[in-house]
Amino acid sequence: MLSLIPQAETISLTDFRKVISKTLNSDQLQIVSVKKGKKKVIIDLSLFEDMYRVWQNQQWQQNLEQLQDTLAPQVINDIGKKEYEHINQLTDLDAVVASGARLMNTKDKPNEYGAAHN
Amino acid sequence: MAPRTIRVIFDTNIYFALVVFKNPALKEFFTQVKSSKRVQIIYSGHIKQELIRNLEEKKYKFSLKAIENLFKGMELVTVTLDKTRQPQHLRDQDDWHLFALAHFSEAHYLVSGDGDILALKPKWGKTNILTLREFSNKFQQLITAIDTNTKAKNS
Repeated sequence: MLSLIPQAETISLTDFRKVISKTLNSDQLQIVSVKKGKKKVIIDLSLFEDMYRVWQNQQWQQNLEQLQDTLAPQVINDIGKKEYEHINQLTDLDAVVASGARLMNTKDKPNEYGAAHN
Repeated sequence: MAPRTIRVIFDTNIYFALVVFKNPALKEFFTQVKSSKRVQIIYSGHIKQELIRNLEEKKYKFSLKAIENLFKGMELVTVTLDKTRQPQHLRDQDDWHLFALAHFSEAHYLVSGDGDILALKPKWGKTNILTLREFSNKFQQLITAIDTNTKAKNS
């Protein structure tokens, strides 16, 4: 299954369903049939959906982490390492978003962030 | 009755905080929401462009592809705004796109950290307006309600 995934990387879930359906109707998979000479196989497509979702989320997390890594030194340059690490330790989600909003609203003047924060 | 899927919009400020910081609590919660098959995250081209514009205004270097990938798996809803019908009572008229998106996408929740948006709590039309903390506090309860409802329907 997983070997199919890389080729399916850019397709939507609807298209993924079509690919799976097409594959199941192909001659290659008819070898599993036996009822009156043919075996009936029922495959729950939600299984593929779940697998696809897990894979898609892994890709999404990797992308997010790479983006955060790219931006981290630039953000640290703006607000300082101490403040950056402080924000990363916050457990109140609203406080994290508020820190982002402060950073977003201080343009071209790195010192403004500290002033607004203090 | 609980809907089968929660339709939620996150304002640009949520995405901004998510990408500029490496806050584990935010990352974990957003990933949990994104991974849930009970949730459909809705966004618009405006939200994506606003995120890009905000990062560019900070003069940050980043890959546009990474921003595209950030929105992968979410539902893009395109809204055409009719300026003649723009509500005049919004504190920030630029926020109109977000409320129009909430209306046309039939979102259950609009999550924001923007005071101008939050000033219109608890609701815009049928869409509940919440902060991220409020949404996270409510999230598990919503998922449990949907699961219970789905099981009851299937039994």
